[in-house]
Amino acid sequence: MSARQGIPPSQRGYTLPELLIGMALSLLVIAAATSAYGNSQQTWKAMAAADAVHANARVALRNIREQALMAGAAYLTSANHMDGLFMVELSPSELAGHAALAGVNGAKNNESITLGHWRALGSYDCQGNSGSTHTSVRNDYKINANKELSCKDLNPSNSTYQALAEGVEDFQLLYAEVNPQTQTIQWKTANQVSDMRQVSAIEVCLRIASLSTVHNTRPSSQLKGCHGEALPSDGRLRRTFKRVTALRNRDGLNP
Amino acid sequence: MKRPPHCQPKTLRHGGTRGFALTTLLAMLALASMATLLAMRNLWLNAQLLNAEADQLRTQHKAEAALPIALSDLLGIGQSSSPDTLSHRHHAGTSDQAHAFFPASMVDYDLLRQRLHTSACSAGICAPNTLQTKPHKASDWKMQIATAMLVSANQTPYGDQTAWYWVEVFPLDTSSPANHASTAPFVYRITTLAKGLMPGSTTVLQAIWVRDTPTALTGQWRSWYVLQD
Repeated sequence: MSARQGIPPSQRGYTLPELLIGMALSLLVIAAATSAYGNSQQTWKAMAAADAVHANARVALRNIREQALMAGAAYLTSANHMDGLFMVELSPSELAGHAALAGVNGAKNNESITLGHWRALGSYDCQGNSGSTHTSVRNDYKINANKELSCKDLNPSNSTYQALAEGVEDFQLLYAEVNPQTQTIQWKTANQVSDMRQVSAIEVCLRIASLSTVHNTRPSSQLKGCHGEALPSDGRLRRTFKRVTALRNRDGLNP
Repeated sequence: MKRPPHCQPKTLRHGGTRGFALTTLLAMLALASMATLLAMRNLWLNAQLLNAEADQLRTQHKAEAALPIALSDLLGIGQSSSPDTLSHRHHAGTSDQAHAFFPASMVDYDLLRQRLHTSACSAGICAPNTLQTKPHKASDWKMQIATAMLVSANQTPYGDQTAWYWVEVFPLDTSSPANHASTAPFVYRITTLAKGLMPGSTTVLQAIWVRDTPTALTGQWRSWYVLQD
């Protein structure tokens, strides 16, 4: 007869096998719960990163689109007619020497675009400032060293570039130049365009990465960068956004 | 009769053997509920942002779609308008009539100005005699919807009372070199206003149109921009 048999059931402890099985089951439950928590946290992080990437793209593309739609718009001014009658005349679409559309082609840190409009039509620049006293607003967009798409009005001497969107790894532009002789449109880079006044649309490409790494994200082979390059697999979530915006104030150019 | 210890209710058991399963379960449930609520709030916020942006874009497209309607009205080629309405909007009529119409000559323009008196617009036809020096604001136009021309419900898929337009007629100084040798006596500034489903998503769009020749039905858009506040 063992010593255990003499102890009443209410005072008996657990046996070693019972304890081991109990601990093993508990560990299994804890492991499953931890794994589920980890998975859901990673999914949450991936969703938040995707959200932030899309929000950055939305803000940047919207800002460029609004300025592109307004670029080169004419406005009405009072004409000094000799009879004293009230008459108007149309302004030119751009200020001499300050083109409504200009661009620099190059690597991601050099590529830039300038979109201009008359202050008489809208006094706000791309940063939302309206204090300038110049007759036109010329918004210049480019990537800065911190991988942010930044912009500023080129006219005021004291203006500085301010970030619009973060995590921007690449910023590329294409210009749809109309050839009046052949009545065709050709997409070109800024240095290939012979006359910016013949450009009827622009294509903006932004490659945006999440700021933090998302470990359960692998870049899909179908996702490419602005130049068709494969996306790096460093754990960051990346998306490439391309948007074509027609320049509304180039009416009559298209064949 | 005394019950054996394992049959006693839990509350009567010795403190050291009392379970904590219910408390833990409730705490876990509370945490899970909070996480779910936070996730739902985030999703709802994103959905609201996307809805607002979609509505803004839809409203901008609606305002843009009203531009050719306004131009058709200006040119007198509106398909949905009856011949009487078209005639009414393009002819001065008799001297006892007081309606606004699109002028074809400077004589017509002077008559239109007389009919409009102090108000700048009527039924979407405007003949202002000054130019505002400050940039136009969207709110300036929102306040004068009563003088606008309503885009009828059968011309927009978004329902009645959602889009309006004004056509401002200005005498054009054809001698000015900036006017690209246009011989048309007038230049038209067309303003369209569209309301979205959400209260804040109103878009006001302004464009300038110049006829190729005084009687031509063709012309060119010279300016296109969205007015801000």
